[in-house]
Amino acid sequence: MPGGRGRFALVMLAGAAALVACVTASQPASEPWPTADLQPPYPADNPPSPAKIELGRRLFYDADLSWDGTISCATCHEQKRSFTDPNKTRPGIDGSPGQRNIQTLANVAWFGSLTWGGPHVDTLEHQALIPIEGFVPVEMGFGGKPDGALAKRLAGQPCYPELFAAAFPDRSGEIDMDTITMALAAFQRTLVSLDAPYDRWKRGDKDALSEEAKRGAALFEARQCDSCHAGPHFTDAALPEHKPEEAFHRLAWPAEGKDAGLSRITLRPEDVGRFRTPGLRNVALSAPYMHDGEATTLREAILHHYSDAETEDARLRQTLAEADISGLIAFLEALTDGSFISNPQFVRPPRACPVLSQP
Amino acid sequence: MRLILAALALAVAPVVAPGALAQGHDASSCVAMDARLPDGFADWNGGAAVGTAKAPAEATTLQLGKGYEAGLLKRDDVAFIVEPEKPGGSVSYSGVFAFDVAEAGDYRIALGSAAWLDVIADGKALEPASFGHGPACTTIRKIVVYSLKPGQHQLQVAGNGAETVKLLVAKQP
Repeated sequence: MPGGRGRFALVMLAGAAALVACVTASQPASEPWPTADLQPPYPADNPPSPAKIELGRRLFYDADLSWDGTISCATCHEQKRSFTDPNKTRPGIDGSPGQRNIQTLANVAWFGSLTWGGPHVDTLEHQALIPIEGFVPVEMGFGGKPDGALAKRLAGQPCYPELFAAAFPDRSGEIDMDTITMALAAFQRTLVSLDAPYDRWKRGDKDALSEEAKRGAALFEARQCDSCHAGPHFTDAALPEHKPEEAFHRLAWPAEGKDAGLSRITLRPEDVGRFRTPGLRNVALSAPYMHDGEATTLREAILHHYSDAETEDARLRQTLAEADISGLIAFLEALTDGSFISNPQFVRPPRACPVLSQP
Repeated sequence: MRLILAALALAVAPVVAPGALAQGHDASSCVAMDARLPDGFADWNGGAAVGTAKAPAEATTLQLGKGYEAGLLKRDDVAFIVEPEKPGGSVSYSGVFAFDVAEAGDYRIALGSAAWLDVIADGKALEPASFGHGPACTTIRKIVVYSLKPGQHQLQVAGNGAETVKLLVAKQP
């Protein structure tokens, strides 16, 4: 079983999570900005291989991973939108409403916590089970279905037995939820976005950013946006020195009956309204925004940060001039990585079985 | 593994019941469904039976403004004209139909599910002019609008969860 899943129970029993304010965690001046070929980390028990990644890509785009064949991972995670979708939330296969906005998968390999409200979900192997088998909400609908139903379905198809054999020779090509989620995770770890104009500017190309975007970048630091949207992945959830639960913050108290965020897991009143900091890579492509998708534009998303008049957080009590907002938007738009959304290695594979490469 | 997911469900349930955070139209707040249908959709619940062809050349021609309960086939039993962007899994259902456009203009295609929809002319899938959910308190799940020229068009439905789907093509008023 991939590492990390068992930690959930410990988090639950502990009642979780000492949550702290974001730290100021900009990239240290001594550390060079990462280049586009930065290798993503992976767990020791799930090293990548070309065959495993190719299998994972096929699974990612295969709607047979949902009970009725209507939803694949890619249904909600569209490459052209940086692997998110344009809806506030997305209904599951049974029509029951989604609960939270779909998140981008850019650079998700570095994330220490992977969902809006659950610091215990700290590996992609574990996360994949939630849409496939989860009940709250129902998404792909395999929860409660006969054990092994998905594995049996895949084993009966022309390509998969051979693909699993190539991807998992150490497991004799076994098809089960472990190998399915391991392959999905291996593919998702290849979704690396580090070649936006802002990256090129940080790496020394002085012409990569407009003057407006440069002004926005300076504002982003001056306003301490980077205290939570920190580091090269623009989230403190991806800071290696952070514990997963340290990436959950409250911008405003939720209204009665609204999503209580982290406290749904920890049951602690002080965690009401805390959600994990989303990454900002390709954020201009991933509207709508916030955990509930209520902000439809970057402007609304920025202003939402300053919407709680009674906040005790000094960073959120500032006022923004229109010029500041436009500068910040220009900066955020400079995080769009065209090579990421057009990368042929991420597209839906042809339906025909692939010619296998070396594992 | 299943214990973990069960624990997750239990952890969430006390605070937010499934479905409590509704998105889009909450049918439970509707006095009656389909009591008020958009112009051109009066026959939405007409339920005329029509079956998909296995090959595009044999596709049944749909009448504009007529509500169908369209019969579909398993994905791999239907020959698509163009591969849908979201073809659905092998266990999902698909169909190929046709309709004639006499007058250039915008045409709305309504489905009773969230299945993928393509309109095809001259062998190419057309870009929709717009798309969105059906109106509140109706069983129309999605409406896709296409700007079409006169001539015959094919209509592909892909990735449907059931063997039939409600379907209606109407000219924009």
